[in-house]
Amino acid sequence: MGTLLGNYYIDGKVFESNYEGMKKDREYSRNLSGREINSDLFSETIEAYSKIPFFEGRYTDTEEYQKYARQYSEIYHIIRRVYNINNMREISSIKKESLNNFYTIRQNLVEKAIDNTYMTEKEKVSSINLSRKVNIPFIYSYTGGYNRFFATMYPVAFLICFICTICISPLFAGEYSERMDSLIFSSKYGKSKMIWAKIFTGISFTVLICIVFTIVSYLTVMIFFGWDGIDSPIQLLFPLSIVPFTMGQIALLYSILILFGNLLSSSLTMVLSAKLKSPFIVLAIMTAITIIPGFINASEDVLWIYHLYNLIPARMFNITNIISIYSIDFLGLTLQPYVFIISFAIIASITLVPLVYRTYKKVN
Amino acid sequence: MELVIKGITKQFKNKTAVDNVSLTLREGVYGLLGANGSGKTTLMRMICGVLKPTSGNIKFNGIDVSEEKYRDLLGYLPQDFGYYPEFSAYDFLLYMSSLKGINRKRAKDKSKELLELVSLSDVAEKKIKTFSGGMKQRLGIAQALLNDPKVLILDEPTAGLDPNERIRFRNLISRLGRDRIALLSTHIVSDVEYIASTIFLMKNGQIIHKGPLDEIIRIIEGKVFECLVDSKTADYLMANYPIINIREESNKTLIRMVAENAPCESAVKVPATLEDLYLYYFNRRVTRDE
Repeated sequence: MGTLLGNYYIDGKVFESNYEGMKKDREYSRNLSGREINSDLFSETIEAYSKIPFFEGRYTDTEEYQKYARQYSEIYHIIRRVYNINNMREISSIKKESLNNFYTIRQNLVEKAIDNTYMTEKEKVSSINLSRKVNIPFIYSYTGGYNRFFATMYPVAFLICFICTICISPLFAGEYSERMDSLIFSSKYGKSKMIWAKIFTGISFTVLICIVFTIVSYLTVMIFFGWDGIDSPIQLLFPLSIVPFTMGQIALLYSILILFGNLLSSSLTMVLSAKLKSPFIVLAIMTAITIIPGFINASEDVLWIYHLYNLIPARMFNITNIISIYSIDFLGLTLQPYVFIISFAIIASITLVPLVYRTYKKVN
Repeated sequence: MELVIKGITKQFKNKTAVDNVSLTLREGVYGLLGANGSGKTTLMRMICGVLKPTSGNIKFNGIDVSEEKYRDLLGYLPQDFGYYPEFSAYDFLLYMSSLKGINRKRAKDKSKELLELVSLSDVAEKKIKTFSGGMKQRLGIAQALLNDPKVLILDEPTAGLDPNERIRFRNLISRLGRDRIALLSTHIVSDVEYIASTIFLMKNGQIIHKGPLDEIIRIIEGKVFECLVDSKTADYLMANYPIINIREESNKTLIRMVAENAPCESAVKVPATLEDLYLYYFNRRVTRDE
């Protein structure tokens, strides 16, 4: 919601509040909703942008942009990505024939990007085949709500991760710091049912927090930005994405990815909590595991390291795991990164849970 | 009812905390006396299944202490008793009841009964973090009795209790010891002197003496003397004999000590007590300046 606060200034004066700006852009987008993304729409966009005179500052500050071009800004974004426009002035140089071949040009660009990766031939073929399943032509719709949801969920995922880490770190280790361990281990259920109860608590807490935060984020964003676009193709936001999914499907997949990433993180936290006798050390280690990967990028030149690196819980929270051009050949199966990641998170979490039980039981 | 401790040893990195201890306990109250670091707490933790022995085994009526069936019959008050500060006394007992597998109805009744027994009914709803040390200790005793245990292990149970409370506690344990095994470890000799049917003396991880009070006292019976001497003689005696107690009186010193024969002319043989035996084994030599 932070993007709705504050104002947009032109020449040092308040032009409009960010909230009013969002409403205006939403109105413009809704006016274009239902229209096919084709050369006609592109031509209108180019014509509108061509009216913007040469200007030393931001072209968005000009009266011509506000009057003619602003309503086509979303379409301009698509043109920029597919036709590789770096400067707004270049838009006029796109030929009509090229506009007519938008989908062919887009597909060629996607296949070229796939071919330029270090994937194996099998993986490349899989990605290309997937990209050809994308439904065309695209029908434009306002998708501001989903755009904001995807942007919001990345920091929310980290927030969930931190909350779970803070709350789960003392789940087992806290019994030592509270000096309750002797009483617990000498009680009837202290070495059996109690441990399972704690594991259940850790998992259910994580699931509950994820669901609550996801629903709250979704509802809040949709209420303010609008519910439109659930059935629109993801390509309206990410034109070169190869996945044939709608905004709604991506939103669901992203939520599931974040859920399982956090479940894996919580499982790791529980193992450390069972092994170490200090909640603070557990918290420190998990904070490091969560934060440090954010500062280090794995190179895509060595794909197996890149894919492995994306199995760290904090790296799972990236939406690119869903919309990326990669396919992964694993033990003869060709999987999309999000399938690979979610499968890994499930298997790893299931493996870690009995380890929590055995570790805590054996620690004395 | 029989708790059999067979060849129990606990070895840590560079120390043998418990060294090949074998005991058989039946109904009654047992006292475990020993200095700090003698291995009492380690032994008790192994009896409670909290610590795994390096070698040996412990069984109650044939049930190994690692089994859940045994823990169902066990009540334990650890030496360093922890708690959840935000819990009330009543909630804490309810929580411990659930850990001990006691159903909710019975847990409520038993918790109220035990809070009454340990005189904590008035503060049942107050948070444990507001309790004094003695109140926390009484709460610890209460939780140990929740499941009506057949084996009651109490490690320094009277720490923090005032003399009145200690006497009440002694009487309680004495009654409880009739149809269960109660093992108390303590530094406070009077805690066990009057109620323990058998006393174990533990030193350097080993049981050095065991038996009823009158039997183990016999070790030093006839060997405890008291002398009222001058300063020079006092210094000599302190340097050459195990001293149990020193008391300065007007211009002389009353010394209580252990010796094979009368150490000086004025020495008077006095009846030995358990405290004499304890101090004889566990006290280092004292000097006049101390």
